[in-house]
Amino acid sequence: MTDATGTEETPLLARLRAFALEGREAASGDGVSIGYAELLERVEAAAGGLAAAGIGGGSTVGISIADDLQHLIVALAAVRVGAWQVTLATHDPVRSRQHIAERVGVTQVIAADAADALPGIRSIAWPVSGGAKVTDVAEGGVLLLTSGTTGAANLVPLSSHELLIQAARNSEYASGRLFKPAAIEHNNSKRHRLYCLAMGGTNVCRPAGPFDTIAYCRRHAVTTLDLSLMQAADLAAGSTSGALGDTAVRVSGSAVPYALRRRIEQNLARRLYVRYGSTESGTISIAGPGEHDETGSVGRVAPGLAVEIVDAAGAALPAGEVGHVRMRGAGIAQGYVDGAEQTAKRFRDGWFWPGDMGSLDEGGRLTIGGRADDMINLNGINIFPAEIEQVLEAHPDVAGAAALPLVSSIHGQIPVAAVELRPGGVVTDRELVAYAREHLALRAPRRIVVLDQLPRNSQGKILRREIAAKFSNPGSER
Amino acid sequence: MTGADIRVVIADALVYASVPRFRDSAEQADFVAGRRDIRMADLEIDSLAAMELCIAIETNSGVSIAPGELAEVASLGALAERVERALAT
Repeated sequence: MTDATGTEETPLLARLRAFALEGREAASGDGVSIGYAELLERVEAAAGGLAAAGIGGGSTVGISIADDLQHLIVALAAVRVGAWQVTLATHDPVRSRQHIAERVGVTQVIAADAADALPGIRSIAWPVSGGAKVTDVAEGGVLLLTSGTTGAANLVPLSSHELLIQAARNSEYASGRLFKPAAIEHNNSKRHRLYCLAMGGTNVCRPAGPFDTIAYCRRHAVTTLDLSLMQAADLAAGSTSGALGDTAVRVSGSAVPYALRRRIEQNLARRLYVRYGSTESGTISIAGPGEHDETGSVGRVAPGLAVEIVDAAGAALPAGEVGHVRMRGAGIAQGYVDGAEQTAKRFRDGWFWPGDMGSLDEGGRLTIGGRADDMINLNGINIFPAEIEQVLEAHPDVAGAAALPLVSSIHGQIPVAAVELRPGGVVTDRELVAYAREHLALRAPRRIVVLDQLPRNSQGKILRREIAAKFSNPGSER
Repeated sequence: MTGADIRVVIADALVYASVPRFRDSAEQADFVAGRRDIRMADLEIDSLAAMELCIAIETNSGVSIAPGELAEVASLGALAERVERALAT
């Protein structure tokens, strides 16, 4: 593809140029208003600077920039010069950033703050300037960090072409204004901001410092608010009667309990979309308004993707039966960087296996039971942590719950759980065990601990390993 | 974990498992307080209840006992003492 001057460029940049001709707004927010035309000018200038610094096809750059708009400009400039990029989040410790940089062979770190430079790796101060117009075309991409199941994070390479295909499965971004309260340095947040640009939508950038999400959405006429499960639960708990009106609220996660969906619809916004997806595949399915019920379905599979439910041997299972989820289609990553074992496990037989267990009903609606690796096997009974968590979270005193297995040489795995109480909650661990027993019978957690707060990472994901440690020496605690 | 704690764990497990001889709340309270012991042979405990009892002990004390080993224990009091001894070593 060529730009207005006849220069070749990648399909992603060509797409943005089309939006520039239409006069669309690329980014908005407090103190931010920039059209696609100006965005592309800044990207081209940055690309020239990166090329002058020796960055091009074959380079892998680390980006340490927390500001939404600046990060997007650098990300697109890196794509423009054909480089691969990885986010080295400024909120992560140096040791962690250094480890990721070494894993992927980062050649240069682009940092807005000199303090974010890494020892032994060439640092490029942002903003860059100078350099000639880039005329080469190469297919760069983004390396995205995703949580691994064995402790080490997986790095997913997505070419800009794959990003474009994934973006098309988020068609509502095309004419909307997207706000994600999570920082752009988080994988999911960056990916969706890039999708939004690839679809011609407007990214509403995060303001500097603390902000009131609902007030900010109103002020900037946000049409889609994309939240993590924890953010959605917090906002719904603190809001009353459709605080966001017609703004679509998207919640990512395979297990969004029906009770929470109802709370969001009642308190936050009428238009709720629960999105199931992965970094490797992008959005897989979405349950929209009118599609939420007790089954906890995540909706029908997006066009362009084929999803199957199979048994351990790979044989397709009938509708309604729970088995391993596998999928294939355009835009799915091909494997992991420096993760041969995980690649062999997750990408095999022409399918991507996300590691989830689920079922498809007669109408093609997908329901996810949980992670195959998280499934608890108690004397041959398969129990999903999510089914325990949903029961515990339905208790009026419980704000959040996490179920996990306690390894037993006799019983295999024994389900146990940790809970966080709502303010003023008084229920005891023994009462909760009895309550769970009443609702779950043999599938109930045999021990429950009440914590002041469930341990979570910066993205709100519950840290089960930390919780497991609380069950490791039970006899000494009483 | 004290002997009384262990007796509470045992009592709760038998209540959850609906063991017939353990439905009387006064009897439960007497066992927990150490005023009464119950012979295993009198418990009418089935395999499911035996499993629940062993799971409860392991989960709450860390002491592993296989359901088949319960037949070697004379009474619930003796079971509590066995767990207490295992914790002490």
